[in-house]
Amino acid sequence: MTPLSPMTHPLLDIFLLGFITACSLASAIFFLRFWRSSKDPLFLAFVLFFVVQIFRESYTVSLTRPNVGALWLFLLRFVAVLAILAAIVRKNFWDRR
Amino acid sequence: MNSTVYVLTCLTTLLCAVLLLKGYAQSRRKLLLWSGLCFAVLTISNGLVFADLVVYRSIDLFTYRLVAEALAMVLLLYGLIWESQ
Amino acid sequence: MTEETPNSGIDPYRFILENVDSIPHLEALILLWNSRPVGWTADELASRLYVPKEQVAHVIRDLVRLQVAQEQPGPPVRYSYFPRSEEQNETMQLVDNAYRRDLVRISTMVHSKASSSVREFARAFRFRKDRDS
Repeated sequence: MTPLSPMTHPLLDIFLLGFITACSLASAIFFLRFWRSSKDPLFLAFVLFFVVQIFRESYTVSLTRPNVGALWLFLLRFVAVLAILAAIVRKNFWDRR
Repeated sequence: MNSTVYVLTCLTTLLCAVLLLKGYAQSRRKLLLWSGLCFAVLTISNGLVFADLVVYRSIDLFTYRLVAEALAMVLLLYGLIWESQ
Repeated sequence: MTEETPNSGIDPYRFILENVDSIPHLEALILLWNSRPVGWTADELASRLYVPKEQVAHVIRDLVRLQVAQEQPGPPVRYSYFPRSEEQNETMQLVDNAYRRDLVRISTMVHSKASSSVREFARAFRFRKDRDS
């Protein structure tokens, strides 16, 4: 198994990770507000997605090889993505009335 | 196993992008345009993850992945701040 | 919410809750209904409703999409009430009555809804567009 190449722009990458974290925080708060005013659980799924993103991006900074990441970090994002899918399915196929 | 995670994540963000951009075509609400574009770029970013970690293992695409994600977030924030009143 | 649901079972409050996104939407709808079949240009609507032209364009687009308004080709392009069905006419009459009688409650109801962009965002994820949410 060929090893992955080392990171090429570490400082820029760390900066971008922080930038994405901050934007995700702002987005999460917006979607929280949308959920409050609309009561639609779809928005809650997006809140979860961005909260997971906050956690992932900031945790990645602490890894020895950030450009590889870790499988459990990708799985975490996948779970957040599944939450969105579940919300879409519920919206369309679960008849509440 | 890893590949499945990347691909499925990609497909979901793609679905979100398609639904939002379709919604924009019908309602012309800019919020849907910007969030749709955000998820389209996130799909590209997720695709780059797959390319980086599975396909082109000798080149580091990490910076490109991050630039794509950062761009996606900027698009989304623009839409959220301007359009959500 | 339904103190007096008439025999037909149509609830004007529910119609408003599900379909009317803002007060200008409601007032435009009432105006078109009461002045039917007269057509109004976008500018006339904007000045009559005291809303900016851009907002009126949104309102008109939403009402046309709801199939309560129709476009009369110009020049100039005018918009009038669209009598899609007897049931819709009946609903409109009930909405009009409720609007005259119960303005405060209806405005409160409309104001407390999430902004229309947010609701459109949620609506985009519905595959079948016939129901709200």
